[in-house]
Amino acid sequence: MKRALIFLAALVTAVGCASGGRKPSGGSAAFQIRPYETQVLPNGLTILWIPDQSLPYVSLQMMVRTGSAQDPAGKEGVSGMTAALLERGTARRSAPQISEDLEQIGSGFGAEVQPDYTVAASSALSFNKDNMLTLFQEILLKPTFPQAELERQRKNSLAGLQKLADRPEDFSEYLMPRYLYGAHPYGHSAAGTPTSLKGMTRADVQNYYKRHYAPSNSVLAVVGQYDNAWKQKVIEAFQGWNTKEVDKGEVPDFPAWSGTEVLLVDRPDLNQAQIQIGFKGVPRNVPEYLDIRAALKILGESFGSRLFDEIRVKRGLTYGIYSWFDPRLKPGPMGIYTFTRAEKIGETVTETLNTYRQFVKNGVTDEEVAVVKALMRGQFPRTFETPETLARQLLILNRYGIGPEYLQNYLAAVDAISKSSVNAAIKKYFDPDNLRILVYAPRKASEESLKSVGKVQVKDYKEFLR
Amino acid sequence: MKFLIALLLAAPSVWASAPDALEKAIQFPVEKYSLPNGLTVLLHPDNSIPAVSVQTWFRVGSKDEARGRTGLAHFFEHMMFKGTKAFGKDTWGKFLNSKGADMNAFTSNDYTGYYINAPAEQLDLLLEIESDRMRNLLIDPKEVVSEREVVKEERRMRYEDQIDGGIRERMASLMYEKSPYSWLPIGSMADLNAASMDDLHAFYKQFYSPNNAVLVVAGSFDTARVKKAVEKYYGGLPRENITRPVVESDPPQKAMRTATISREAQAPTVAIGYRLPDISHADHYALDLLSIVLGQGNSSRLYKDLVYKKEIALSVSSYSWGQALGGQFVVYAGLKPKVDPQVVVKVIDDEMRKLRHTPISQKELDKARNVLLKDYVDGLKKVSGRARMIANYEIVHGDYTRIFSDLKKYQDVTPQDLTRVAMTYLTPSKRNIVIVLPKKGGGSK
Repeated sequence: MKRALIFLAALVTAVGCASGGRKPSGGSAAFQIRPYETQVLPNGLTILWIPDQSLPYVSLQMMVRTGSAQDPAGKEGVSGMTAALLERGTARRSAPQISEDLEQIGSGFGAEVQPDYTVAASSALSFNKDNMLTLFQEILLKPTFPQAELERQRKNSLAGLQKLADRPEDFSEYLMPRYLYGAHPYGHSAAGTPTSLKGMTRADVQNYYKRHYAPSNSVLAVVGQYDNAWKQKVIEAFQGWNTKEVDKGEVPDFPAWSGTEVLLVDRPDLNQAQIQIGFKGVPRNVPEYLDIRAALKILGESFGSRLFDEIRVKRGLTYGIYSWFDPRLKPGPMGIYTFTRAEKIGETVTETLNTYRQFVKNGVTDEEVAVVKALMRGQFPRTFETPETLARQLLILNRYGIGPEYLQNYLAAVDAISKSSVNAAIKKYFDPDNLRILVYAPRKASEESLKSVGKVQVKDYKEFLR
Repeated sequence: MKFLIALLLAAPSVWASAPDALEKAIQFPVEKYSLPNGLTVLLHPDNSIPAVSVQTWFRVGSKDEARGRTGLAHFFEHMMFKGTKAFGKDTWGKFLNSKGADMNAFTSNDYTGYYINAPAEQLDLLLEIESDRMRNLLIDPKEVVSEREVVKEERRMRYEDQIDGGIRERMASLMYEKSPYSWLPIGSMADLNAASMDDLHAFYKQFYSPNNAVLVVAGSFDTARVKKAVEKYYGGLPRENITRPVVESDPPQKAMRTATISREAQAPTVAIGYRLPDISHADHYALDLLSIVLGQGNSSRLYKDLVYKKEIALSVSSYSWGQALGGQFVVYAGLKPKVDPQVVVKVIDDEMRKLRHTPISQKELDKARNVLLKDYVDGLKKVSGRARMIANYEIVHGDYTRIFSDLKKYQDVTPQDLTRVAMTYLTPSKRNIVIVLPKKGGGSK
């Protein structure tokens, strides 16, 4: 096999901070992420080498820098169907044979599709890394997408979407993108819709694969216990992947709508209401990214946050309440999620909105900012404790064009957060007036109590299963 | 080094050599000792990141509740975040966040666990806070009123609006009639409403005592210093006499039991459960592996048959676990809409019969073992994961060293052992079958 021309694109960091052999440091402030190397093969595939000698395992994560936002109109979910079918047949193996061979070595294969990217992953004990590499390469580079497997997966996906209605939180999450984004590419998930799944063809899947699965559109993270000889095997496995240009469509900006509205998805037998409050969020490369993260932690991340204290601790209205965002290439969604018993829906929505609007109006305090900065500093080493989580973060940063210096400078950037920077970000990005509120609950118990919040549109949950 | 043993050289992919090498490769240092007041302490030094994990686990769970007070152990777990005189309720939020810490807790049938993960320099403070709430908790009636509603919301979320949660609860009461395993840690709504201040105080006094606790400290620390701190903060806590409710045992199950849950659902679900012996029984090694053979992964027997070949289920799984008073082996199948659950019950029965009467190949056993070992190693990747594993093994088995020695036990399991345990425990008359049937007029159209 032709030896690859290899060059090191960047040796990102070389500080003495690997997981082994380090003396106790001077605390979180001295923590640095572990060293890794970046290499670009001649065919354009970027490889991140993240060695970890602490345990006998190896993991591979391949990010394809395309996700469900590139599904053609009418073919919503083809990204998810393509990812699901990767391991359902190759030139050499049938779907059952692939599962058998992977699990015989204690391994597996999974592919997760997000709006802007896809990550396929396998891991194994290091005794089995050769076999895992062979299978991983074959699944990703030589899938055959058999018609029979497409038909099987189509039936499973349709049944899966229908059964989603019986998992109230998941169902409300599935419905929310469409409510926020409508026909925008972020308005559907990789699961697709019943209509799009029914019309999907093998050619659709093959076209999606041909168009987006390419070395120049991919980054491979190699983590674990391996040596230089095995690195060479990885390079040889992927250097023959034919290069090509990948032409992606532009994702439009957040759709324009205004005012606050409620979509009540009626399901009479539920004991609890699922409540999703959503609004326009931010792109990942927004300069105020860390200020927004700090604001969301103060607003609603676990113990001690404003929403947790007001809605759970003080009022006993819920077991869980969270504020969240999902930054993407273009503004992703931002929101608040909670749930409550049917008779408390109105109070919970009203008090959650009151807490949120007070937060936007008055901003955060010096004390809150000091606490959240300490929390972010303290969480940093734990977040990157395993090299697999570091790999995942590096892949996502790469997707959004953010350099690894983000992680190197993270602690200093946290130190620079101030009350004024957080409050400026809140004023700029946290919309108190233009909200979409989705409630999955019994109509009878909730419709009247929601009318004071905004115009209420009611739909039977079964409408979304067709 | 993170671990005592240096790099493991790549070995050929054959089972015979892997486990021995693996057992060496996963070794990590743990020191165990006890204080005179009965507190069990386990220290796992690891300097890989500047962080510590403090795990405080109590030997109390829902098995220690009396009938009429189900859910008390879990309800009390929530109250442990309400503060003491020295460390008020903001400790479990703003104060510990200001120290860079994350925290939470969980309650099972057999134990209740609390953890704080924090920067290493906060270790002294964490020990001070945890030792303080072990004995000095304030139980404010106003907080009890509010938190009771929070727990009830948790119950609605996990068990009333979730099909799988409803199955778990029904399975427990079907499988057992007298044992405290006949209810789940969440307890019943009526009992949650009935729990009184006296109940909470009495529960706290005896069960939250040092002689009923296991303290695990893992991470970046100096062992001698930590020992001094543990003595300083915990040494003065008084030992308590612990009186547990008398546990009633169920007689051996003689005949199959069935229950049907009729509810709005898009498709039926089938669950079949079997009682197993308690956690100390050596058959659990074979049962763990058998559960993988049967229903874990896309190449497992039930997946291949029900999901792939017959296409009548969307998901299947099987799990085996041991507990202090008895274990369980449970098979779940989430069916496709309109499938007759009795057809699925028969397919599962047929597969069980094969397990009992047809020898299992060495290759299939090796596959299950590889899956198990991979999961085992995955659980060891984080300091907090190792801390949790140490606490779990110490509480459940009374011996953390089984983390390492269990690998050999799994290695010793033979195909004949799998057949034997299937013959012993997974027989038709010992089945407990829970079926969820969609109500007519529901979503299953």
